[in-house]
Amino acid sequence: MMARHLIVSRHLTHALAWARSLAGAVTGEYARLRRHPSLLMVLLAVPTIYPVLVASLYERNQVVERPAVVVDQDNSALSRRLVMDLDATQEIRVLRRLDSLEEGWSQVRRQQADLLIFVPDDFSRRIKRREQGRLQLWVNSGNMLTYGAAYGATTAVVGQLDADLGREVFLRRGMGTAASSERTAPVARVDRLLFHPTGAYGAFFVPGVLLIVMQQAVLIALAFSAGLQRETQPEEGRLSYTTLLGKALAQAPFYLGGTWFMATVILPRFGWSGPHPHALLALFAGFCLATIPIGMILANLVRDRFTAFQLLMLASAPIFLMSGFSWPLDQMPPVVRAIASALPSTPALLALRIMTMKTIELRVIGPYLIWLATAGGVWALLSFVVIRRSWQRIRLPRLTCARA
Amino acid sequence: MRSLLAGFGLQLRRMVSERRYRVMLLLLVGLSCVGAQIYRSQVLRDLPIAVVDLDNSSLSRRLRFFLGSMRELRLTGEYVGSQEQARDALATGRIASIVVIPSSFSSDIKAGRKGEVLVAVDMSNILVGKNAHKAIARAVGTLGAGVQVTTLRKLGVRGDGALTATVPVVVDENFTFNPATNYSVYIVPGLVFFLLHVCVVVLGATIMLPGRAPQGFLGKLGAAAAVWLTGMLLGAGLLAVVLPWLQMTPASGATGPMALIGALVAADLVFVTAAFSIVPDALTAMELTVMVAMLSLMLSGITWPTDMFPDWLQQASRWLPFTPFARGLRAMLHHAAPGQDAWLWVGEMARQAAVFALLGAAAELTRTITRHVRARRVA
Repeated sequence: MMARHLIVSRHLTHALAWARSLAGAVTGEYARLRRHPSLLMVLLAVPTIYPVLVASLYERNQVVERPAVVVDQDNSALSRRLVMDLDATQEIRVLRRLDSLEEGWSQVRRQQADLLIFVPDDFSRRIKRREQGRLQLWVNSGNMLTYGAAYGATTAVVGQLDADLGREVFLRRGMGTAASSERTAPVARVDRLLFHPTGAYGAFFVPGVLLIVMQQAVLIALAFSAGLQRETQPEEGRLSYTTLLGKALAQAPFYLGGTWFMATVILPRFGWSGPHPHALLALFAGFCLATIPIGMILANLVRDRFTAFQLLMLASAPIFLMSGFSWPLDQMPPVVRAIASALPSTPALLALRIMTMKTIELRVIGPYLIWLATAGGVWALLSFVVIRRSWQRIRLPRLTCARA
Repeated sequence: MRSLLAGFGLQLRRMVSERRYRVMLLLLVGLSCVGAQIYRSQVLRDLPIAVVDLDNSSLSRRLRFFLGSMRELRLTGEYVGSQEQARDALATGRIASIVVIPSSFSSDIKAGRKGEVLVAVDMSNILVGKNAHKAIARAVGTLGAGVQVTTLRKLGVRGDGALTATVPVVVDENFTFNPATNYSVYIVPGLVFFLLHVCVVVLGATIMLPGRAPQGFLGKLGAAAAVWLTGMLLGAGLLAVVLPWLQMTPASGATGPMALIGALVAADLVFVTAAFSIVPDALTAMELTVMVAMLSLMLSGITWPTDMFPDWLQQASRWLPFTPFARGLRAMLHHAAPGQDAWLWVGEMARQAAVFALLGAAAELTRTITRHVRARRVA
């Protein structure tokens, strides 16, 4: 009984000592924030300036009015109608009519126009002779987004022209107007574009980018702070798990503030949050929590503030691309998929897409939340083991030596 | 000259001997390779779609066949018996689209009415949604054209006349810069050179930070030359090793892209130097330069075209070295452009560098004058 009492009391003393050192680490971090504005700048600027810039960048949401140039050698009523129809679409803006193909091609090559349409001089003549009229089209497909808009609009306009000309054939064969219309393009599509009917790029892309911004804010702030501490207290060497955890706890209100700003101010302001901004806030907060252990591992490695930037700046773009947010995970090689699966950003981004576009039903987002929680748990365990081991390996012998 | 060479040697030694530089260069290579691998399949394939064929006629079976033969689509064979099941399958992402062929489909067409096909597409991922929708539209369009040709033949239109009457306008398409409309061509070159750009900016900042960096103007110039050389070597490596991995070799030859890389690295270094001259605190200057560098990918217009930006961001993007580089690289990499085209973009980066240098020099001059005035006042 006495022995058990002693064990309990020893554990309690240890726990109290640990809590005291954790509280010390938290207050130390706040003192550091007061003394070093550069750290405060990282914590405030990354989650505020980036979201405003990114959201402003995609404010127009859709790719419209792609610049097109036309070389119309036919100059018939039909070719003029074609050019007018193209210009009337939302996606194409006819910049000018040019005299030569070389001039038009030079504009496409220099990326001043996304589209070059060449109408040969026999275009309408061939159609009147009941031959196929040929159009030449050059599209800048280097940017798939602008290509999709410009090419899609062109094929739609040409398809409509085909249908109208085809209808005339039926009319000439003695069919009535209604019957001719029914027999032209006889298979009709009734499209239901679900969850995101406008297909707007900004609404799709920006929430994902903001999540990655938040990840970078957590990782850089923790690593920067650890680097700063090691610069100012070089004799201490590697930081303990408790110190790093204290840093994360002290910075947590800033992470929460950042996620609140993104999820409830920026996204709703631009109309991109979907119907549930508070659910997004919860997801962002959960994601930050799952990212903290990775931040602690990286913070354990850095020796100064500069190394934090050196190591972390390169990773954000590949992490976003490999998450499956835009390019599906099942289209990636297994190695990339395995790397992506280990990162909390992957399930968080996939859940985010569903929450902003589809639903917040737990049945649908549940698997991704479990994945996120598992990734967070595994990283937390890993961070505890890695940081403790490195501290015991490097710091403890130094402390023992110093005491001796 | 000796200071110049000493700075060059010192910076090279730092980049080779210090672990953090080695890790950063390793990260650049590793992440470039991973980035290239993400898009290895180049185009979207086998997007799962479900077809609910309530007609089961020869015409609807032909539509199913057309859908199944599209590269982008894969018929899952999933049974979708109700609207709830359809919604569930689309919401959970099990399928990208559902095509419903109603029971009256072929009878409507035979009776001279339009046959309607319901196409529901999950657009929550616009890349997947648009690709699936485009492929389905192509399959439905092909079937429609076939039906129209048959009808015209029945009406007595002979030979190729039926086809001409169905598709009177043909479009000869030429896709420039990315003929196969691959996503890897669209994203990967921009991504890997963006990583190089960030790496160069960070390396450039190491020259300017107080500490073990070379001292004096000539020493720093030598160090910048070392970073420039490293950037060129890394750029050449990306061009010669990483991009050919995805069957991308510069169509205009290596000279144009290498000139662009050289200009980018040089402009980046001048940009960093100017930022450190303008912002008095070295660490704040580094934070600023790195933050601007990170925005370069989005501001360059590689993905979202610059003419869609708000005016003030359009102006900002014009002053980032990565913007003309990305445009030039796209022009030189995928199209056999004449050599002088490269100078168009190199010239733009040189103009930027000249302005950065002027701003930096003005900041240095102002600081020197202020220092002198203060010293005189104190005296």
